Amino acid sequence: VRRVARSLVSWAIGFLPPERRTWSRAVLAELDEADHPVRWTLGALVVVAREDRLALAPPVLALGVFVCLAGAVVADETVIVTAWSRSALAIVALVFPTGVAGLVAAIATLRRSPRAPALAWSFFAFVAVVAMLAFTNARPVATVFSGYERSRINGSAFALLFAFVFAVAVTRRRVTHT
Amino acid sequence: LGVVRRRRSSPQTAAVLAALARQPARWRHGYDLAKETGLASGTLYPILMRLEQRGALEAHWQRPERPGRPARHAYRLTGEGRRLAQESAPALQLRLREAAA
Repeated sequence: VRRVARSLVSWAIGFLPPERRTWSRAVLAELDEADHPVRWTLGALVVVAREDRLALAPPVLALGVFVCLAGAVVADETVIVTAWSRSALAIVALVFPTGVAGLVAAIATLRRSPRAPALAWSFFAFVAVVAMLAFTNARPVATVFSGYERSRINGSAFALLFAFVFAVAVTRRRVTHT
Repeated sequence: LGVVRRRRSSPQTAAVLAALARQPARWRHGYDLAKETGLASGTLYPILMRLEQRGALEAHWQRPERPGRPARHAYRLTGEGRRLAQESAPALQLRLREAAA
């Protein structure tokens, strides 16, 4: 965990201008001492973002891709296909936008666009909801919840996603207008 | 009329100042401070960054204690920092008493 965390933060630090790397390197240097490396890493990413929000886009994108890959490896085919094919809405509202959000975020990150962090977070939000849907519809978990409970969980996930995307859009507009 | 208003330190900043002021001559590391104050790294380091910008904190890189380990960033209060710590100490004590009550 420490090695992955170190690589992730080092990678993000690489996107900072050299003169603004001191504090991020300072947090990273303490990672070996930390009892909770994941929490410490999140703090390191906060410091990186504080120096330059753009530097956070690549790790967020990477986390999203990691969740996608982990989901594809861990969840068997039936989980993903069944979970998504049960609902046409999920395919239209999630699968397609997730791919588009990931692609747009990757392009924005490569171009170092100021919108890259917001787009990366949007991609991550889509991925999180897809992961939750796949998880709650997976066989062992699906048996725990009733159909009604699952629809409530999935509905909440959708609501959170749309609230997040709305908040990002409003924040972007406010930033653009000030 | 050129009125200068001093910003009151937040309870977290006051806690960091108090931790550093306990042994003002000693260089402290971020993780020790995080453990002592109970602050997460994402809260602690922005405070340290602000304190350094205000001239209340000096920082330097220490050589690794063991080979293969990274150099560590260490901190201690400046004269201004000690004054700030003294100023914020009563407020912190009051807040802690309120929290305990």
